[in-house]
Amino acid sequence: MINCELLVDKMPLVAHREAAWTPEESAHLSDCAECAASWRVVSIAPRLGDMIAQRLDLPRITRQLQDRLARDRGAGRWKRTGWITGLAAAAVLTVMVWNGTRHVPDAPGTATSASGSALEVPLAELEGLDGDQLQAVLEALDAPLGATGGGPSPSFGDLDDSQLERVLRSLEG
Amino acid sequence: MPPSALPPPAVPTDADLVSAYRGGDESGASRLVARHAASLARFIAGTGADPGEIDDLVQEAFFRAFRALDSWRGESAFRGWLLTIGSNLARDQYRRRKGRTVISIDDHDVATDHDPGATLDANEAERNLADGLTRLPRLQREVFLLRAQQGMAYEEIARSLDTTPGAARVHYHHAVKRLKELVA
Repeated sequence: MINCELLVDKMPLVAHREAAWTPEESAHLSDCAECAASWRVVSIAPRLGDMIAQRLDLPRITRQLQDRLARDRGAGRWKRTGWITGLAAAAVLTVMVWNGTRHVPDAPGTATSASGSALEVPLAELEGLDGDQLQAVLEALDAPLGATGGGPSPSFGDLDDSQLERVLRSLEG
Repeated sequence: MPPSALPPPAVPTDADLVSAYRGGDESGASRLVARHAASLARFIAGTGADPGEIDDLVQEAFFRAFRALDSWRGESAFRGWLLTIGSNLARDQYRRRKGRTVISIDDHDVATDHDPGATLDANEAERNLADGLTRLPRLQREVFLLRAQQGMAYEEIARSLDTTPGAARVHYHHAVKRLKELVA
């Protein structure tokens, strides 16, 4: 018995020729309208944008990129040098001001923020769900778009060890 | 020793090329560009970016990647990390265009197949898919592209998008379901 959900998981591998359909899976694709529609969508995806990629002017991109990186490295060196110079000047100024003024009590310390600025990718609510909850969401997706041939519902009991392993790996997060 | 008896030259990994570039070997950058530019262009095009700006976006994504190599976590794939940068650039471009998406027409007008009828059908299907992708929420669209277009595993997608493999899998299934409705 074929599990539609796992078949849809496998589709990108077949589309990229990293796996092949078994005879049973091929037969299922002929019989199950939902899986056939999914396969039509997924099988097109690897070709998407092929013509645009073929028209890339790679020599120009590489040349301009290397020019920009070289300029950036030069600017980086200048910035580092400038930073050191600036720091030295600030130190001299501080000493001069210090010597020219009376000591006053320290102002309340200024808070510094050193929080990381790692790029945050906005996440959907799925992020917070555990494996069982994610599986429940997936099962809710299984409702057919229209009337289909109507095979028996997929069940984990129908899966072999390797398929179960894949489900577990996916759900463990 | 005949040439056929020589062991094949080892292909450097992305991490090797990154190390070479950081060590001052400019060819490391060129080889990474040659290796990943096409995938990056296809991915950026799939996000609905203006086809006329793909070259510039590809160059900019590599530029930002090389400048930020220190932030690349070596345990994640360089390609996934690069595609994430490309995705952010495409999103910025989309905002500059104030939400107008561009579906490439000429991308589908070039016949490459011997069967004109089949080519037209395939082109129409690709056009429909490209159009459908622009209607998906960003995360669904990117997970679908990384999984179906780029062939990445859920674990790798999760690392690239800073989510979990289980969540990536659900996004992929959501995307396939919606695309079936939109493309049909």
